[in-house]
Amino acid sequence: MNNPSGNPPPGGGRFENVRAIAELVWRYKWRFMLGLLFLLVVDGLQLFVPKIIQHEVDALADGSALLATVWRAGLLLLGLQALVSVLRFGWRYYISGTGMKVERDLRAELYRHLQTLSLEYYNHTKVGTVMSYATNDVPAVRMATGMALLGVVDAAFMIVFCTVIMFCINWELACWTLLPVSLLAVLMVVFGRRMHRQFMKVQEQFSKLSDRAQESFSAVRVVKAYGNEAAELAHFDACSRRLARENLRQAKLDALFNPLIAFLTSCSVVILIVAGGRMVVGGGITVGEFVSMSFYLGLLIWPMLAVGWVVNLVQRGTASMERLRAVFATKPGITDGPLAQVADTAVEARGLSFAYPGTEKPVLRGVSFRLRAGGTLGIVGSTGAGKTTLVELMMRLYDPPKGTLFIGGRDVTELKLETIHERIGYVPQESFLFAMSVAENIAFGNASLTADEIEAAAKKAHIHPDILGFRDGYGTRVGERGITLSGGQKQRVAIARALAGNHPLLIFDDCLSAVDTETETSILRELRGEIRGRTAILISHRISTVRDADLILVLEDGRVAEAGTHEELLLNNGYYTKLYRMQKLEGREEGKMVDDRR
Amino acid sequence: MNHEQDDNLDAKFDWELMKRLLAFIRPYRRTVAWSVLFMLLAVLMNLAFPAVTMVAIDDYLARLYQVYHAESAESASALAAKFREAGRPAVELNERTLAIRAGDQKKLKAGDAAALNRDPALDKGKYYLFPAAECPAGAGAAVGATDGKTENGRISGGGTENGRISGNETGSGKTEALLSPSHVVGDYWLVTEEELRRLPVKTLFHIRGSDWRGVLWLSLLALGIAALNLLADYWQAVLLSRAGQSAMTDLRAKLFAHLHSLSLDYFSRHPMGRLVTRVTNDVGALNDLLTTVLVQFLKDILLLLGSLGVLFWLNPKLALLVTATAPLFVLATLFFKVKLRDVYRQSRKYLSSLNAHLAEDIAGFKIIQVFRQAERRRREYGAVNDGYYRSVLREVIWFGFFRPTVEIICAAGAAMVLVYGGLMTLTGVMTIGVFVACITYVNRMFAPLAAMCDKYTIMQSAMAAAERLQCVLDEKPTVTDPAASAAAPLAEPVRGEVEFDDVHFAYLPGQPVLKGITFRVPPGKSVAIVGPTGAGKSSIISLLCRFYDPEAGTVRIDGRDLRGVPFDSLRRHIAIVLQDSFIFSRSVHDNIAMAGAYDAGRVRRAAEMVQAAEFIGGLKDGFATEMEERGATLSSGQKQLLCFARALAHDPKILVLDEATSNIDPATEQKIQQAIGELMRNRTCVVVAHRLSTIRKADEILVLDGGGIAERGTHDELLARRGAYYNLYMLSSLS
Repeated sequence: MNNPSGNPPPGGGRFENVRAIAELVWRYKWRFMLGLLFLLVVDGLQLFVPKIIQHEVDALADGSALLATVWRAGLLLLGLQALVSVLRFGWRYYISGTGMKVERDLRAELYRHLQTLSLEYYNHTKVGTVMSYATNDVPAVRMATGMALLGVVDAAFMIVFCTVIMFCINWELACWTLLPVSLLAVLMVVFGRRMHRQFMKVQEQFSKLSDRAQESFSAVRVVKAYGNEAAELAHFDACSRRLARENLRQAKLDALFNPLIAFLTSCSVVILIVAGGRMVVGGGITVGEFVSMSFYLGLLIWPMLAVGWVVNLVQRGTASMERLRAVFATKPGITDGPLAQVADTAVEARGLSFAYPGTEKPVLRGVSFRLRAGGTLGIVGSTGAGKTTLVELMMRLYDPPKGTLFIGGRDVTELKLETIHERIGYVPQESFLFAMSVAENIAFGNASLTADEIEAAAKKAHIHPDILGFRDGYGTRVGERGITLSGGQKQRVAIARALAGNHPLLIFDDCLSAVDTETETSILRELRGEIRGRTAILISHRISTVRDADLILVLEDGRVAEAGTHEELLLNNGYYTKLYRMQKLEGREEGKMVDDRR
Repeated sequence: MNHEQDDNLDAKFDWELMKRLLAFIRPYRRTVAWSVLFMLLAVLMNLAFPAVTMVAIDDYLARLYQVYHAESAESASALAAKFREAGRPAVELNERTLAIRAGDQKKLKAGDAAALNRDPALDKGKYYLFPAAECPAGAGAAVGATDGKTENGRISGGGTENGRISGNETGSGKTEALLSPSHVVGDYWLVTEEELRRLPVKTLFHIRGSDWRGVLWLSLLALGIAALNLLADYWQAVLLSRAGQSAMTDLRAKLFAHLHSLSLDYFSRHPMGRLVTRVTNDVGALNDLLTTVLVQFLKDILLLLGSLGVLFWLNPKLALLVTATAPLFVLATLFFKVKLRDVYRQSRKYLSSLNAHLAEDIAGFKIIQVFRQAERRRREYGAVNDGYYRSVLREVIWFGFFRPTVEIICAAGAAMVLVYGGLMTLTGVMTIGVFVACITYVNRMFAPLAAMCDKYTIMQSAMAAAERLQCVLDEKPTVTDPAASAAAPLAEPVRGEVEFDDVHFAYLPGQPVLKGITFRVPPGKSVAIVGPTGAGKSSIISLLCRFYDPEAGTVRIDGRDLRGVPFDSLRRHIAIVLQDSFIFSRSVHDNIAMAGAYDAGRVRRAAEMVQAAEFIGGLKDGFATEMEERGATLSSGQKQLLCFARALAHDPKILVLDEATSNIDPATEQKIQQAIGELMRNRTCVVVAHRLSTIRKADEILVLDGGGIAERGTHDELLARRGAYYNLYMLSSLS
């Protein structure tokens, strides 16, 4: 439902997309082939239907028909159809079923790939877009494999066979009759391209409408406060009308395409009547032959429409494949290094400069510092100074340039991700919890934690009393189907999650912003005990959080503006001093009293 | 985004629900009516098309006659009279010989037809019949050349041989290739197909000229029918789509407006994504109901009934026989419907948890990486993915049983036609053309039946979506606008006095957030609300803006209970600045002016007063610059300033400010403090304050704790009291 923008086109054009789909089909060739075998047998048997009818008609026409002839025809038809029905189950199972397998495996593959992408990718891609890869594009590709294959083979078989038989009956008449059918190819090319374009347009407009609605509903307080409902509706409606217009254009294409195919087959019938009638009158063919000719022509209608349907499926499938290929073509941002061991968790940066991939502006410029194992690093600085980026580089959520960032004396890019991550307990700026129980959330990094260990972590994070107050205590589910935690509660659960693993390196990214002052003070007291003996990195806007650190970095526009201990920095009379004065003077802490009714 | 699914998967066809949705189509009923008209035309053409071939065969290509050679002139004329009575006069070749169109017997009374069939005087062979007068020159010559033989060949009351009227043999080599009428009776020639084929093509076209012309006319007719069918199909689909899209647009607008009319509690109870889905995806249900369920069903039913009708017209007995398969059909559908619904529901559940899982993984990407849970999440996702695959496969299997069952029933119907129709043709009661047409129409009858089965799934999901829409539309706002009851607006000039009188409030029953809040802000004065998280500060603001109504107690402005003030009047005099500075993806001007139709001057002045004009001037198109979604290109300080400008442009009597806690660099911080000062000047202000500068400026400070007011007074008074405020203050001053 989202347009494919935001991803570089993988190149190669539509042919490449078709090839990618063909490769998917090839992967399951045996099952598909089995399905197609069933299909071909079914098709073959079905061709006897007109034969049976023709036989009976001819017998009736030349007067040679007996009672037995008639009965035989009826029973043959019934038996044949019964057989066909049973065999049809075979192709349904093998073709549709294998299509589902394609979908399952493609989705799993997509998921696997999505996991390898870097944070960078998710910063630039809307959740809705990624979701629609899995919910819209994968099924669309599935349809373009199983169903399209079925349609193509079925149609091709029927078309070829009917054509051959019609040629056998009378090649000249067959030539004339099938003339309009050959126009189908032209139709497919002309319509295929336009349908593809229109399909993309509709998708684009649809995602715009979603964005519109999302924006408007998110802003519901502002809208209500300013009585802006009418303007919102006008904006939304304009977008909605544009979508309706694109939809209508698509409908017009569809409304022309299928009836045109039907019209082409009707034209064939008309030609049959003229040319065939002439031959019957002229004695070229018998009436029986004429009748069976018209039957085979009738048999062609479905395959012809199926071709149109397949064109549609393939259009959608290739459009989706294009989007999926763009995802698959996105290189995994972060790859494992060779080293699995580090001596300790000392952290060092040497002239670390960093710009996000694909951007010009560096976020960090020549940052250098050394933090001994077991030491505490405080980082302060205004929004956008690069604080979060710095710790994210340490965790290799992004890749720093080689030779600039070290953990335990090893370049982080040479370390296995596992090695880095198992040492780190991390509390992100926005606390994200999963739709699991509170206990499972705390034990997220290590499912083998005991209930006691989970509780201990919760106590350290001052969330234990809150949890006991929930309906099912630690078993209470978090999120949509469970309870909604307040911002402060979420942060504290996230802290408990980070503390639960006993990691030697703790990273706290502005993690108490939604906690009130009193709670903050006691958590900080607790944390000081916790981080003793561990390496800790504390990002904060509050002097109170970082003042005890062994080293405090003041980041300003990506540079280390000041570095030192609290006392040293106060002598500098720079940003830190200013911040200190402001917070001391203004009682900045009230600023942390965020209402959290939820 | 359609990754939220709901639990009401068990949708059944609900006529009431349908009617409600269809009300949206009512304004476009003319368009729909035209579409249906075109559809009827298309159905008609569709039904008529095979008939053309039938007529071509029976009337022109194989216009065959049977010969009845009576014992006496009386019995011949009696039979001729019977045929005349039946409206199918036989050709009287001579006084004792009749030529009867093949199939005309069935128009006789049943007894007469049977008697005729048994009558040995009826020749079982079938002949083409040509009037001798129209005998072409070539054939005439041929006939002339064998004149004598022709004379001999004339049926002179002679005997029948082997059930066949003895004809002369065309023995001479000279005339072998030429027309040698088996029989020349009276002024007519009777020729078998085999004999006819021995004639030269030129001759054939001469003597069958009218047949050939008939075929030509028929082909023109067929072409016309096909073209009409094309046009009708096209216009039917386009008109229907036009009506559907228009109705959908209306429904979307209605839903959107309705959602915005709902109170905030609704929005906090429902995830955003789900609301978006309502107005984007679920609305599609209306289109589905219209195009697939209603019109396609109607078309299928018409095709079904039409084909059945034609069958009845062609041969009632045969049609009756075919209809006998209907109960079987219904039984099979009912049986499989239940099964299919169960598996369908199950796979929807799997799909919904697949989506939820993925959405969560994207949002929690960082955590999963750092906590090394990618493997586990992948396993979990894989398990759900497998579950989905298995349940969809079950769908395939059940469907795989369902369709063949339907097909066998159809085949039984077709087989009956072959046998019964064949028997009737055998006995001459039915012509070959009619027989062929019967087979065609039976196939056409079963096709829409199968199509209706296929539409079941679409109908089901459309009904489910319709139910979800209904839920939204049935939702009533908990906070209602008294404007409807003609409440008077606030009396001008509005003074701006704010009063909370023993206000109690809870978001959820039994969990009170405010417990008896009482305070008064005189016009032009300001009150700062401070207190720990969860004390109820934002709730006070929400009540003052009437996002919610209190459980007990009253909120008043200028002495008027808010519940009696029209929204419109209330909002004209209150401006609110929220913590989260929301920027719309529109122009800067629109972001400041909002609904107010303020001119550029007023907007600019407002921006200047809060010092936002400077950065706005630096934007690409100044005030006309279109903002990114959520103001992505602006810093958080700039966003705040823009929101201040929005409030200031409004020039409210009462300002409600929920100070943002986000941290801003000192330079911007200073600007914001100045801007807040500008905003608060000469206005009644209720501020959830985080900045000491703001708090100090307030005329009164309310210290909230646990839903009640713990302390109140000025900064100095409260410090002197050494109570809760003092503690808060000391805590924060880094001592």
